[in-house]
Amino acid sequence: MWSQYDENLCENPFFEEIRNNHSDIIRRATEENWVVCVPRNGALETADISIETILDHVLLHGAGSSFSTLSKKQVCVKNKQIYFDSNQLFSNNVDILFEETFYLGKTSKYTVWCIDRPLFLRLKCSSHSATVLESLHDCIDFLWVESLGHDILDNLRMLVDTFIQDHQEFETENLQCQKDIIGNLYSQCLQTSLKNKTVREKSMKNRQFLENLKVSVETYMQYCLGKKLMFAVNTLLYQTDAVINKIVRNSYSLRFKDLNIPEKFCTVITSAKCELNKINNYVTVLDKMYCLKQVFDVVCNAGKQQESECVTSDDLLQILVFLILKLNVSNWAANLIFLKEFRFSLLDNTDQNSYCLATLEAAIEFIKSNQFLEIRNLAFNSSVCSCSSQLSIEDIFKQVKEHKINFESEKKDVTLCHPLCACDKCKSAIQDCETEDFTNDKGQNLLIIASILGNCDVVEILLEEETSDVNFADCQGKTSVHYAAQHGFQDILLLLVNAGANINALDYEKNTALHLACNSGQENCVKAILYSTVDAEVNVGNFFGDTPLHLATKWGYLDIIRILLENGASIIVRNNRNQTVLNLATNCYVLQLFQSFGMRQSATICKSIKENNPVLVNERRASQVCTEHGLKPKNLDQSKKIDLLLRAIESNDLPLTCFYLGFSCNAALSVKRSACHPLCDCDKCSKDDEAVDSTTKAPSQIIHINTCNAEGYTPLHIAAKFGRTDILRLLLDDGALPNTQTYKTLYTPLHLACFYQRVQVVRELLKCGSCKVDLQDTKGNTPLFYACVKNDVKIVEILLANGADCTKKNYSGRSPLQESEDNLQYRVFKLMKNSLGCVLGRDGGQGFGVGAGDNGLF
Amino acid sequence: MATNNGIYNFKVVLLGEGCVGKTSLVLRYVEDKFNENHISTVQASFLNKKINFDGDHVNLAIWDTAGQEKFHALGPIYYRSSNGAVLVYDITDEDSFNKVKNWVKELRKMLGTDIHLAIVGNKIDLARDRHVTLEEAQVYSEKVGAMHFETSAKLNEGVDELFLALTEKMVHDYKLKTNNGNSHRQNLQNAVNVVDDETSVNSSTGSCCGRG
Ligand SMILES: Nc1nc2c(ncn2[C@@H]2O[C@H](COP(=O)(O)OP(=O)(O)OP(=O)(O)O)[C@@H](O)[C@H]2O)c(=O)[nH]1
Ligand SMILES: [Mg+2]
Ligand SMILES: [Zn+2]
Ligand SMILES: [Zn+2]
Repeated sequence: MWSQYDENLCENPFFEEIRNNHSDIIRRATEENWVVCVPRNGALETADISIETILDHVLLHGAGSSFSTLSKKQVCVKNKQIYFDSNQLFSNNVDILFEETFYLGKTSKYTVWCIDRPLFLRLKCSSHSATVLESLHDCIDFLWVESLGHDILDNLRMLVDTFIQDHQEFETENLQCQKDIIGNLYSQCLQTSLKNKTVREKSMKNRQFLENLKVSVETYMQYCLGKKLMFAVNTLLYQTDAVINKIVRNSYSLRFKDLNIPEKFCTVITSAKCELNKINNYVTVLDKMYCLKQVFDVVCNAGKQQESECVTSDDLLQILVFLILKLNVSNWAANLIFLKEFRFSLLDNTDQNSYCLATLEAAIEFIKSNQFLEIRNLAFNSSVCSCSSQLSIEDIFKQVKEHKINFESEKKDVTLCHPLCACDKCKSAIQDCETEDFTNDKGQNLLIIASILGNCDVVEILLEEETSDVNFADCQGKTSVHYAAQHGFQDILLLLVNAGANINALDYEKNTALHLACNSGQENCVKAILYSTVDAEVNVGNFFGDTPLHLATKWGYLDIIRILLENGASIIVRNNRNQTVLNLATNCYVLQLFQSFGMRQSATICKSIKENNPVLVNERRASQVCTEHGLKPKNLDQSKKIDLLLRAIESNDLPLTCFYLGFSCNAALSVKRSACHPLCDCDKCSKDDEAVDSTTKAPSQIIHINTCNAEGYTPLHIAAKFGRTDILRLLLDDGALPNTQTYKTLYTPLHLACFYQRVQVVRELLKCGSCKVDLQDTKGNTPLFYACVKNDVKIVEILLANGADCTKKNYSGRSPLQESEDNLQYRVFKLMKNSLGCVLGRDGGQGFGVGAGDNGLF
Repeated sequence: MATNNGIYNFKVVLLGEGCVGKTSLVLRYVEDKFNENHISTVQASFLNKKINFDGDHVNLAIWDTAGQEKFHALGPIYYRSSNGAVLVYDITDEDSFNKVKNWVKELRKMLGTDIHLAIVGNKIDLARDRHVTLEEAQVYSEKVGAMHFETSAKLNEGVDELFLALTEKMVHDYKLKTNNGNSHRQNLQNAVNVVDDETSVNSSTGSCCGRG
């Protein structure tokens, strides 16, 4: 590739001299295919143009790559450079800047090489070599050297600083607006630099200089703007990029050969990847462009190494597609627009830059296209079933469905090519073997494979057979839940959860299913996990310390980020690189979301982190054994409704509450149904719904009385918390279960009633008979404990009368009795001591010294 | 010799079915190379050629497009804003000529008459196997307002003439459109001009890009 340097040779004094006064040379050049070398404009002083220098610069073809000059000197040409013997101290090679073919008529022509310095230089070097600016560094050098100081740099910096102060809201403007604003700034910057006298004079004289000045000014301006500019473009294109990221994250199984890339490029992929990965280290168009060009160079050099091979547009395009798939860059669309639209200085569409850009654009478009989807699915399926002689997957799954495969038969030790394989060997083995022991080369059993391929029916059958271990992990430690979540199969995920799959299972990179769903942008599965399970861990870090929220943020999935935040994801957790999600946010909208949630969250953040403490988690699990929770909402619609219902209760709106609960068929509502699972929407289940509810309203409008919201709060909880006694009574009469506990905190309605000191509610709850008085929450506290903390004598009295145990220790080892003693709550303490005495008395009066403080305090 | 020097930048795309010799043609032209069993140089996808006639300095950027069928839909990304297109067929292959006709339709539809077309029958060294007659191709080319050439990349016949003629046409057309030599450089979007006496800079950001 020729360098970017360009000049009009007709204006070059050296060349003019030859054409005007040595037309014989030109004539012979045409006839005998000589090459005329012309030092670029300014490289040779006019005074030094002589017949000797001219003869030195006309080359005659010799053998191979060697030439001799008309002055009989030998030179040789290699890699767009001319090498010659020199007895001088100067380096002995000169760059060929470009080649130009001069036509004298339709058929007669000769070749001119524009070179960087005169050949066989005997003279002082009149000026440094042709400046081609390729990086920010070059530009700063240029501005510094040409203006003989840092005035221009300082002025530009000042302009940009003012600009930044004046344009705080710049990110949310549209593209044209952003372009206008930046273009305007660029004009100002250029004007400022041209105020410098030396620079102005040089710009007038030399076109190349002016071009370079433009590039430098623009590049330095972009550098001063720093990440602000890219942040704005990211914001502009966040949706497109999220779409691309989702596709890319879901194409992990694509390999080199799936894209038909010629073998020979295999070796360069690593270094090309390295180069391209740097693209976000740069903030200027020039540097990013250079980065892209480096990638092309690396690829083209691979073609060069093997003789007789060439790199075509197809190759470049496919390699770029592959690189994008394998890199962790999250803003390709933004980078493309930045490179295309924010380049004001370089104007023509004929340089290599625009070709590189077109290739990048084509690669991005291709990834978004349907063709790519097909290639991906093909690769995906073949990566699951690598054996060639198998039946089609559909056939096998059909067999499973028809129960042809015998699940009960005797155990035998066989290894198959693939669990679904049907080559003769496997076929015979399959007939007398237990299917659930089959694993393919990746250690995946049938359940996992069906989950990968999204075959819901098969999963259902396998789970019904109960022969497969639902938590079976393959050689990457991934379980069916992981795959269903990763690939966005919500129905399968729900089936698995319902069958008791461990939603918090970790693969070997310590990813939970939620991590994978967030990484691959599967919003439906993120919802399924958070809404349908009780104990999904939201804030765990994987091997790299990334929480699900880190991953969703990295790829810019705005909706998932919102859902995670609503479900207790913390924004202050740091990953192993010490980044919080705030550090990872690449666009304005994500940042805004964090800010708005940050306010609400700050109080609970510390708590949620404490909950990650393994000790506490274990305690929580232990206590969960006998925990009852409310019914999960069946679908999104219901989960919205339950929120409305709870709000109605909170605001003591009795009629609205009745409306949501469909309160005219009390008896029917309390009938216990056995749905496939609480979220099921299958025909059978929705028919059940109708049968039960048809007496009153459309079934979809009715919410079961024990349904809970995302945190596990049932209507009864809310009624208890806010002391809505009338509603509470109604709920209890209609079969609300008094002992349900919230998800994380494990509060019963009684806990809440005690904490919020609702005496009436406590009475009502205990009156219903089935209410357990001593259930513990996550911290191990009983309702009595809270009543003590609040120093509520009335409630303590009622609780004690209902058999509350004042010596029951919480997980920090403290009992209500101790608590009240330490807090000098005389009346409460007395009540409890009395109840204790009464209990002990009943038991036989031994060991009366429980309250040690007894003597000292009271 | 005339020195009314203008500088012109033109983009030329190569289109046509696989294996008709697009890459061979451009490599022959720019690097003067030909290889029997596929090509022999570094990069064939983007090549630059500078030529000078009548004092006009012309910079040709020649883009060899992605040829695989699965990339067909990406064509516009490559050929948009080109000044010329070289549509290549293999004279021994009737189908490749039909492909050219499709390209003509697509280009006219997308770019109108802004683009100069050169239809090129390659591999005339294999003339005994000819399946597309010269007359047929010429008649068709004239009908659609395209130039027509026959070439052999292998024997280096007609290649130079093809690009020279296309270039001349593009320069000629450009001069007509810009009232003769007023602008020494092509007027392109986002141009910033420096005016002689004052340091006034006039910047116009292109208004063509309403995307977003
Ligand atoms: N005999 C003969 N063969 C040619 C000529 N031009 C090209 N070929 C041969 O045709 C084959 C294809 O040439 P390419 O230049 O790669 O064709 P292409 O149009 O670039 O093909 P794609 O890049 O696949 O679209 C090669 O084997 C060349 O050697 C020619 O003028 N005469
Ligand atoms: Mg080709
Ligand atoms: Zn097999
Ligand atoms: Zn069901």
